[in-house]
Amino acid sequence: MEDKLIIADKVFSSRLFLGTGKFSSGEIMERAIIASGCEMVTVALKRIDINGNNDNIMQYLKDKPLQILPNTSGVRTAKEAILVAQMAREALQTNWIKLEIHPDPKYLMPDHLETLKAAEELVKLGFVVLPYVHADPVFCKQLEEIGVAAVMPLGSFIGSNRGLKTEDFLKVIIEQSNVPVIVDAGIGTASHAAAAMEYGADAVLINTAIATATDPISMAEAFKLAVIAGRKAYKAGIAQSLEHSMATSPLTSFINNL
Amino acid sequence: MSATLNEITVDINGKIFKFHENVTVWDILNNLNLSDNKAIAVAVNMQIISSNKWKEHIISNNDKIIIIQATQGG
Repeated sequence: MEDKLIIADKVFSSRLFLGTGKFSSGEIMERAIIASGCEMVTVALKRIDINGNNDNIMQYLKDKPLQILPNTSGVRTAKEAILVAQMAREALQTNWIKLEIHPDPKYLMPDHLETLKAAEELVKLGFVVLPYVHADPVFCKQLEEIGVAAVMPLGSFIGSNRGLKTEDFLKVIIEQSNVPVIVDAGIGTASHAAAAMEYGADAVLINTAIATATDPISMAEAFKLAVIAGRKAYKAGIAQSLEHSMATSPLTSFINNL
Repeated sequence: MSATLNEITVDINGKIFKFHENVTVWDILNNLNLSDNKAIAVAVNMQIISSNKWKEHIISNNDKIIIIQATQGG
């Protein structure tokens, strides 16, 4: 049986999702997306510059088999998040929303009170809600109960490339969750992504690590392979870790008599 | 006809514009060369105005309009 990921009613073959921020050009972003093999990308929303030129990111994303996942980055409250989600649905013709409410610009820590309020309302309004959260197993269960489509716990600070600093808590979330767990934020290199997949994460979302690599296209491919490898290792049943040696060759004492 | 209409002040994405009263969302978007842009969304005073309401929704004095589009983000 093929190992597919299902979120809401959508089937994904790739367990790697990409953020579209920080790429040096739209062309490089487009090539990195293709190299990654990903099937879902995030976009942000911004106010149109009334007088200026507005680059159109969608020209690089349309006509590709991609689920667009707009985020609510920039909002400070549940009320703002709900409005932005409605505007995203209108502008992008999707009811999928990455709910992220992080009022403090230095650490970008998710505000769980506002996130919960917004998630409840957005689920009622028919959105497919994917909330960005701390690696908090209790909160992830609460979100699951109100009907979110997946949870997106952080590995470390957004954009920090520090890896899976929340490892212990991610493992609990993965163990307990009945909705897909997408490890988001902080994954800095391919081995971090492989590790998250080996823990049993359903997917990872990568942005900075690819977009700001020296060669984003090669890095996108590296992440593609790492996610496949990590998932395969998880599915294969990872061998037991021991505190002592266990010989892999026979210890026949055939040289004793020399 | 426009000479008989009063002027209203409208905030669009933080910039102040002046229009004649009874102007609709669609009129304003048209004025900004945005009315044929399908990849935008409009809110007036923190309420979304769906594109099928653009031609009927009348803007009032001191309304705050937000017009958004997609951009790069993670």
